[in-house]
Amino acid sequence: MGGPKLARMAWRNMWRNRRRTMITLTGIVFGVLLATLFTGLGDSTYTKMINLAARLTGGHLALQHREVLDRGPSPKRFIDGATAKRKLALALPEVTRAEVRITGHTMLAAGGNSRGAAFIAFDPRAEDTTTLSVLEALKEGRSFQSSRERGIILGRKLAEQLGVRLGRKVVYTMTDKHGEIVTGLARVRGIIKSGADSVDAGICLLPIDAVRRVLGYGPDEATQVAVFIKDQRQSGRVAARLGGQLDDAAAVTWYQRQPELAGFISMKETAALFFELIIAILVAAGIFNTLFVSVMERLREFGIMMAIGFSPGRLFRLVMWESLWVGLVGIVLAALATAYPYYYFNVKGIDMSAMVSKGGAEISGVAVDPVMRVAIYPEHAAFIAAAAVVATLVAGLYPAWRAGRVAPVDSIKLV
Amino acid sequence: MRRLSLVLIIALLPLAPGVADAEKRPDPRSPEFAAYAMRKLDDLYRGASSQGVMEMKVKTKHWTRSMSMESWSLGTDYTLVRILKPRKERGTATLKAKNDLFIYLNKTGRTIKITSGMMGGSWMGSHFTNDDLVKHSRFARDYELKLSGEGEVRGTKVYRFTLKAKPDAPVVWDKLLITVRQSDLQPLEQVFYDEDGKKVRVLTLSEHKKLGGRVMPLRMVMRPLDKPGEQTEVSWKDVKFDVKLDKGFFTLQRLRAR
Amino acid sequence: MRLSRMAWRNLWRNRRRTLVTMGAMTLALLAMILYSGLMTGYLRGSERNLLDLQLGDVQIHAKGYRDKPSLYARIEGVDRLLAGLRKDRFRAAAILLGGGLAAAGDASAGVTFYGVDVKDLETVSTLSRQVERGRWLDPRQPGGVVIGRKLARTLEVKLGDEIVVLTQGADGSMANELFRVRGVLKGVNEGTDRGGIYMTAPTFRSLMVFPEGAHQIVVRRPADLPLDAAVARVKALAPGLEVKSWRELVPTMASMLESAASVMYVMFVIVSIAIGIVILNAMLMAVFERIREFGVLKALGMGPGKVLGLVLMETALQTALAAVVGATLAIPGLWYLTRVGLHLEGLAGTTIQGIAWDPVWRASVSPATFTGPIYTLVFVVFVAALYPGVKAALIRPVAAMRHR
Repeated sequence: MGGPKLARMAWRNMWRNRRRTMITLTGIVFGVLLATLFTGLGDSTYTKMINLAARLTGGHLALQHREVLDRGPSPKRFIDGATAKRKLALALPEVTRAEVRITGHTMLAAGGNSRGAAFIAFDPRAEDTTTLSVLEALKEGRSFQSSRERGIILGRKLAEQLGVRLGRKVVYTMTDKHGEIVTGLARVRGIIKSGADSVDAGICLLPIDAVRRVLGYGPDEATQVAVFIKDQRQSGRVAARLGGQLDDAAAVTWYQRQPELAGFISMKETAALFFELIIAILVAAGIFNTLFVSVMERLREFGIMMAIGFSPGRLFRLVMWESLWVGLVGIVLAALATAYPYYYFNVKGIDMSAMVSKGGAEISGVAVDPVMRVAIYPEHAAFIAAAAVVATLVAGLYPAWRAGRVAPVDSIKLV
Repeated sequence: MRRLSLVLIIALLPLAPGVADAEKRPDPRSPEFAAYAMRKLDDLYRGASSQGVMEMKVKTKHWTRSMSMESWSLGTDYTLVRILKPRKERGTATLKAKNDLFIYLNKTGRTIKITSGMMGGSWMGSHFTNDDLVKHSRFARDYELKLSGEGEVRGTKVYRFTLKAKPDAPVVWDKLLITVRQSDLQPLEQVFYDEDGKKVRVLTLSEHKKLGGRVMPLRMVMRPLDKPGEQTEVSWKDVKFDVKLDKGFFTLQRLRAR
Repeated sequence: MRLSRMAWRNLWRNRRRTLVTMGAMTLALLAMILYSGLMTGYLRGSERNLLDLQLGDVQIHAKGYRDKPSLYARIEGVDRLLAGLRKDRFRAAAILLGGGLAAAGDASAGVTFYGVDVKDLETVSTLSRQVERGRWLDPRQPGGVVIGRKLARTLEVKLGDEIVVLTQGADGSMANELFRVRGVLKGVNEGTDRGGIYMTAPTFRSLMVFPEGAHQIVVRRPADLPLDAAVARVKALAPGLEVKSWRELVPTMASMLESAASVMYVMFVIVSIAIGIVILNAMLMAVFERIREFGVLKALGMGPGKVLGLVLMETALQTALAAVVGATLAIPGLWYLTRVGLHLEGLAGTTIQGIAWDPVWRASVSPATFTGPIYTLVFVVFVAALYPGVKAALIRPVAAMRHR
């Protein structure tokens, strides 16, 4: 009997014992469903966190002075040719945005009060909330209209501590690229209320050209080019490529700049993997059991088939085909069964906000969205499907081998 | 009267007789009068070299301290102030050279450069800030001047000038109210206002005396109005003008010398 | 014949089937026990990381200190307070807090000084073991300080380097001192990493001209005293002072741990469901294989109740065996996980809400690590056995005997 006929025979065998097959299929469907939802949850949550971190700080990767990563940021460690670098980044297909910025520390003073803060100086006509997420928290006032206006946007707590409100002036003191102390004047244009203390009490925004003037930077000098990409998993690859094209700057990924966030995500992913492994083993064990029982029950049948000329190899292949069919049908059913829950959790998500406090959870300054959605990367979904089929096949190996080992006469004697 | 806070602590307020007579004082009711008065004060310290000893008494809610300090200055660009008393801090000194400010600490023998982050901090523990010392504002350049009135303070006839900060000037204050003597335009009081029109601090100058050809207030008191009961008082004990000093005197080595 | 003996014999008549089913149960139990250990370890580790480093269970401050920290808002009568706390089985240590400037070479940074009694601190905190490079404080070396990780980087100092510190003493004098970097801490929390300098209490007192008093008392409760009761007792011992539990001090962290615990329980439930399905699978197989056998039994007069009982008994025996084997096998696994743990790559002091994380994930074992999974297994198995058991009980003898 040839291949296709064997396959068809296997198919029919599978359905001879409906109940058993259904039980096996249920196991596969359940396993795949769980794995898909879980992986999808992880994929979506961590991608969101990473994208948010990118929008909060210097992008998925940042082009900056070589020494910044090791020795820390400083106005002396700047890059020039920022516009050209930006164009270079935008030329890559994975890159969606690239923005030139100056970042650093400043001392703010107003009335009789002074406070230190970190500043981000950006071009208001080029950037928006997709590249600078703090702008979303701009609750009072407005953003800058030009990159050289004398305006400043402050966190709410910072404004309170300085005793200023919209329209009031703030004198900011910085150290310029030569190490000299310089000052600038700005009026409060907007106030940010994010709810996170690290932002509300620690950050201010300035227009980039105004800061350039104060720091004595040339029109093409800056401290970083923040690069944003479509798929955060490409961060390392894009950084390597850009880094290779630059000899006077380094391309640093988000995980190099924020190892704590990277560590947290890696820890969670390890835990999820461990968990999924357990489920996979359990489901595979169940499949094995079913297949095995199925073979053992049909020893007599296999004995007869051998007696009429089936080779052990063929019997082996027959059972493997049965196993494969179960796997394939399992995948198809799993896909059908997963469709609705996936869709539901993709669109609606699981609202965990009841479990998280009002303050909003923060990890390394990155807020965690309490509504968790499911969105799986296609590669991961394919992997799960493939793994399910492979598991089924592997589970079928021993039973298939046993089927081939049947001794015809002895098995026929079985009642 | 440029940077009263800085200048009056460190340098002296000479009214070089020669300079004073060269320009004719315009009529107080004329619009040029305010500019004239301010210019006179701004010009007062140009080229002036001085050396002296002062006593600074700082009173806060938790403690009161007296310090005795020696100071040298050249115009407003260079100043060296060294603590003489109390013994524990003798030798600690600050050096201002153009826009840089350094502090030498006697006990550890180390010198720290004051960075932008430290500018808001208090100078030598007083109610003056490091920023006050280094500040670049020129009254004439950063403020709109106006003679706002006349009056009397403790029997002395005075002029009142209102200085409104120009919209783009990098100065923390919105308004300054300066009261000067009508007779010789010597400053008596300076009030600092924030943008809400609130008085934030008051500097009072008194005990004007003629020394070495110049008239200056020997006593200055700075009071922060948000901390009632607190103040910093500076009294000059001994002052000499036109001493032999040049830029080369104001070095880091000199800062560290005992 | 006694049902239990019959059940036992039934089990061993078909060894393969029994072993496979038991194998599934054992594997499931093993997985659940290890997971439970890791889960508890994660939560306890998180809390311990949090509390053991700096926070403690309860903190005491002078009234108003937390709103407006000031050198002058101090706790008086510290020795008496500490003695009173210790008499009530609490462990307590006093911390002196101040601020100033630290400089080394060209670099400078705003810093927070922590003045501690080295011996006392040891009773409430594991900070002394959190030194990444160098050593912890030594009262015999008062000029040596231990600084935060990021501060060391900002000031660009290594072990043995000196830093000069400038601050204002309590008497208004300009205090300055030289210290040597004795140790650099691992990640603790954002504030300490960026600007924390730990020194011995006498060093602090001399630097800040601060002879009496303290700013913060960190208290650890005895293990058998719940947190709320501990807070109440400490409040009674410290009248006129502000007493707060760690949950009140860092509420976001507290709720984050709670939500992490919830998520873990959900995962545990899901694992249990997966196990249940597998066991159901195995049991169903077992029953359907024996349809003829049950048919015969029923034909011989065994009532449905007894058949169900037989099935359940068989299940019970298998479960009991699996539980014993599973629990035994779990022991070396747990030993490894508690001692060595899982090493999580790429972490060098994770910060979650500003609190450091131990990069090794250890399990934490208690009786509940075993009892929880065992009860769950028993429950799941019981539920999983019901359907096939009832199916077996309701078999119609004749049809069954003719089955296949």
